[in-house]
Amino acid sequence: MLKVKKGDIDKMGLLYVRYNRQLFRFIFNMTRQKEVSEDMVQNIFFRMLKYPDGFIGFGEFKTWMYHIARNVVYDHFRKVKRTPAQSELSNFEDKMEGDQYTDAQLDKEQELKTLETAMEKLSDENRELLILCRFQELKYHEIAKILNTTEGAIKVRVHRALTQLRCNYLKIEN
Amino acid sequence: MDCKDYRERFTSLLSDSINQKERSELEDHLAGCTECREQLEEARKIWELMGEIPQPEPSASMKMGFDVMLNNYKQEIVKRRNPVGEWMNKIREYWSLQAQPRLAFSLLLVAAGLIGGYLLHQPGQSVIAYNTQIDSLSSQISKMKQVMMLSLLNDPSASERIRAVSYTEEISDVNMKVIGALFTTLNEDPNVNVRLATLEALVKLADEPKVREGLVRSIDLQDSPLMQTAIADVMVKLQEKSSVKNLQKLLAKKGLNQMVKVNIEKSIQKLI
Repeated sequence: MLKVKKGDIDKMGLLYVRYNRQLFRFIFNMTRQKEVSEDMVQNIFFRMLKYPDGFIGFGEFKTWMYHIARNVVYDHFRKVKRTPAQSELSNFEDKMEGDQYTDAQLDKEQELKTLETAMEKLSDENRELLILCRFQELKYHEIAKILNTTEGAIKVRVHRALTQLRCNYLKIEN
Repeated sequence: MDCKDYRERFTSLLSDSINQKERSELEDHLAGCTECREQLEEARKIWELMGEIPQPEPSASMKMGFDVMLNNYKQEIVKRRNPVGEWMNKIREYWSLQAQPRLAFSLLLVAAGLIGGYLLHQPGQSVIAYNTQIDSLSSQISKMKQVMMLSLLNDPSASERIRAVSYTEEISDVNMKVIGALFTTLNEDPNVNVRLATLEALVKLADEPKVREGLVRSIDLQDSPLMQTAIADVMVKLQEKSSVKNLQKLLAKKGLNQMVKVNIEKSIQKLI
């Protein structure tokens, strides 16, 4: 990124190759809308190109990227005022049409669907924590940097988020 | 430390963010606490189930979109940099290269050139002579074109004759000799296309009363339907009322084309 800042724009292509998938999944898990997420990834990389001064030499590129990504995502939430009905759940219905699925597989899919609904019922903050921790597989100290807090606080908050998720899950299941 | 404190470490354990000391403490506690073990199993189940949620791949169009965006941005940067930054740099380089005496010398040369030019330049006679020379030259060219046009009009090739007609536009002041030649062509040329071109050239000269007269007279002489229609149109365009008689005479002619008849009737109506 330092090279991009100095004018070597092609290096941005490298960063894109390295991070686009991770970034896309983060946003997709937050918004559950594929096209919107792709637009946002584009938007984020454009911002990084246009305002490279936001990246201060030290510190990790990843942290900076997540900072921008969070701004973009929360801007989006503010704009659309969260209409949860829009979410695109993974297309279980399509898959179930094939009849060679065993009962166990169907059970598993039911479980996953319940879990996705439970995820959606979480607050944005809790969901984000779990996404960063579980799907993005970031370490606590990395999450702490992204969210501008301490590692200890993250530890407690992730635990609470997971407890809440389990609670939601059990509620839906019964 | 009670069970609650230990349970806060579950997610650390699951996400592998736990340090060695915390881990062994937790393991010791779990060994003795069935409830916490069950809780951990529950948490692990959810945690692992989360890992099985399908994660979509971004589509290929996203990568394409990014490439396009990056390219556009690069071009924009180049554009923005070129005129301002690089030119400034070049000028600066140039200044630093130019040593003072060299610059002074070049300025001196320019000044000498200006003064010399001023001294050598003698206004008056030479300019007038020059102007008259140009005038006589241009009138000579005009005459030459006229002669060329007149001779070309007699060329056997129709396309050459059309070219000759088009020369009239380039001849600055058309005299009677040229107009006469054009009318001869208009009335007698065997090729319809040449006649049509001539008609067009003559319309441009219609400010001259003699040209209008000649055109009206020419109505009687045309026997091609194409020319008859064209000339009737010209009459309407020029608003030449004196042509009505000639047009009516044309209508009375035997064997007149039906389409032409209708056209001429319309023209007469417009003129009256």
